[in-house]
Amino acid sequence: MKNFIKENLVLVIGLSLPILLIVLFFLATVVPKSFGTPPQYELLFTTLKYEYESSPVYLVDFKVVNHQLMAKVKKNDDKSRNYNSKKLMAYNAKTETVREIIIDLPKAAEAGDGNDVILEETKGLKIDAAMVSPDGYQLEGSNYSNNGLVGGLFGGGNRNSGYRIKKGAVAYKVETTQPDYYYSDFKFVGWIIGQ
Amino acid sequence: MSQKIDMSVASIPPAKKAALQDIVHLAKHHQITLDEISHAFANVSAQANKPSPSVLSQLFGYIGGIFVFAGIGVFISMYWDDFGSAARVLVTLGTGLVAFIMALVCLTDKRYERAATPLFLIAALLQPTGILVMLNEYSSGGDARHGLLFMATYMLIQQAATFWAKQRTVLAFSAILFGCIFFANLFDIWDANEKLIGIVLGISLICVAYALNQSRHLPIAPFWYFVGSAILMWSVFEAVEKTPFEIIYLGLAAALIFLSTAVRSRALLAVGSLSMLAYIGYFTAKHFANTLGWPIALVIIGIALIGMSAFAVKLNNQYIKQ
Repeated sequence: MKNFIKENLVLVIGLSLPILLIVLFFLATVVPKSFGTPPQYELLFTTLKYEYESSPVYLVDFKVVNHQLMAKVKKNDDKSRNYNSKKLMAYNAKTETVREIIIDLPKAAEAGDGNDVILEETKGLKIDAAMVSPDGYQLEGSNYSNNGLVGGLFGGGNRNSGYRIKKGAVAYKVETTQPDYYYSDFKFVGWIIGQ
Repeated sequence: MSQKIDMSVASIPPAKKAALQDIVHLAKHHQITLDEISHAFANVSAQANKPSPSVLSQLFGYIGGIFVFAGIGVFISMYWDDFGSAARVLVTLGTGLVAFIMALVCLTDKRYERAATPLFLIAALLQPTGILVMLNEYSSGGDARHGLLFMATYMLIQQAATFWAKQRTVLAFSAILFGCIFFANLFDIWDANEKLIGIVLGISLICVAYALNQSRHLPIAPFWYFVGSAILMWSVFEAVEKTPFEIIYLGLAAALIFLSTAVRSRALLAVGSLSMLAYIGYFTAKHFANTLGWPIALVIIGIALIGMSAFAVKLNNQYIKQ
C-alpha cells in the first residue's frame, strides 16, 4: 500500500482531492449544525402559488403591527391578469419542515371589509418582524448562479441557492415551496416568538 | 570507456535524447527488461512483413457499424411512443447491459478482443440512458439531480471495478467521466461553491491525466489534460474576476505553460496559451479600449496573438514534440 502511494503519488492526490472536498464540506456544514443550537422560533413567510386552472377569488397582503399579524383581504377584480394566490407558511427548523397556515379568506374579507384585520388562524401568535430573530438567526436571500464549466460539462446547470436562516456557520435551508407548487415567490413576514 | 559513452550521449540530438529518456522511464515503470524490448522489436519487424488489412475494408467496416447502430437507434425512436415503460427500459438499459456482458465475454477470447472496445462504449452510452429512462418511467417525481447522482454512482462503480479487473483504456475513460458526473452533481446538490468545485475537479483531473500519461492508458491523457485545465482556468477566472487578485489568473496561465513543458503535454500548452491570450484580450478591452481606442486595442491584441502563438509553437518544438 505504502509503495503504491509512493509510486502513484500524483494519482492518489488527484483522487483524494474531491474526497477531501467532501470531508471539508461535511466539517463546514454538518458539524457546526450538529453542535449548534437550532433556531427556537418558527419563520413565517409567504409564497405565491400559480393557479393555472383559475385565478384566485381573493387577494391578500400581510403585515405585522404590534407583534400581531394583520391581513388585508380584497376581491380579485382583474381575474384575467392575476393567477397567483398568496400562501402563508411557517418553517420549523427543529423538524426542518414547512407547513401552510390555511386562512379562511372569505371570512377574513367579510370581517375586514377592505381594512386590515386580525386573522382567526393567527390570532394567538406573537410575531417579531425584525430581520434578526431573538436567538440571532437571520434570513439569507436566494442567489441564482450558473454552475460554471463543470455544470456545463457534467450536469448541474443553473441553480438557485434557495433561502436559508443562518447564524455564523450554522445554516438551515428553507424549502419555500411544497412539491406540488408550480411557482413561488418568497416574502419574509416575521418570527413566531410566542403562541 | 565511460568518457566515450558520455561523449556519444552528448552528441545525440535533444529530441532523440528525450525519446530515450521516455523509453527508459517507461521500461523502469513497467519493469521491462532489455530482452523483452528486443523480443518485442523482433515481433514488430516480423509483423511488419505481414500484409496489413486494406484501409478500405476497415473504413467500410466502420461505416457499416455506424449504419447498424444508427438503424437500431432510428428504429427505437420511431416506435418510442408505442413502447410501454418496461419496453422502453428494456431497449435502453437491457441493450446496454447485454453490450456490457458481451464486451466482457469478448475479452476472454483473443479473436474477439477488438470488439470489446466498441461494445464497452455502447454499454457506457446505453446503460446510463436506460437508468435515466427507468427513473423517468417509474419514479414519483423529486429532484432530477438525485436521479443523475444515482446513475453516476452505479456507472462509476461498474466501470471502475471492471477497469480494475480488466485494465482497458476505454473503461478508464468512462470511469473518469462518470466520476466527474458523480462529483459535479453531488456538490451541486449540496450547493457547494461552484468555483471551488471547478478548481478542485480541475486540479484532480490534471493529476489523473498525469498518472494516465505515465501508464499504458496514455492515449486518453491529452483529453483529460485539456478538460481538467480548461475547468481549472475557467473556475479560477470566475473566482478572481473583477477583484485585485485577477493577476493570479495570468500567473496560473504561465504556470500551466511551464507545466506543459515539464509533462510534455500539448493539451496543457494549448489551454495555457489560450487562457493567456484570452486574458490579454480581456485586459486590453477593459482598460485600453476606451483610452487608446478600440482599433489600437485590437492591434495590441493581434500582436499579442501573434507573439503568443509563436511562443507556443517554439515551446512545442523545443520541449514537447518528440
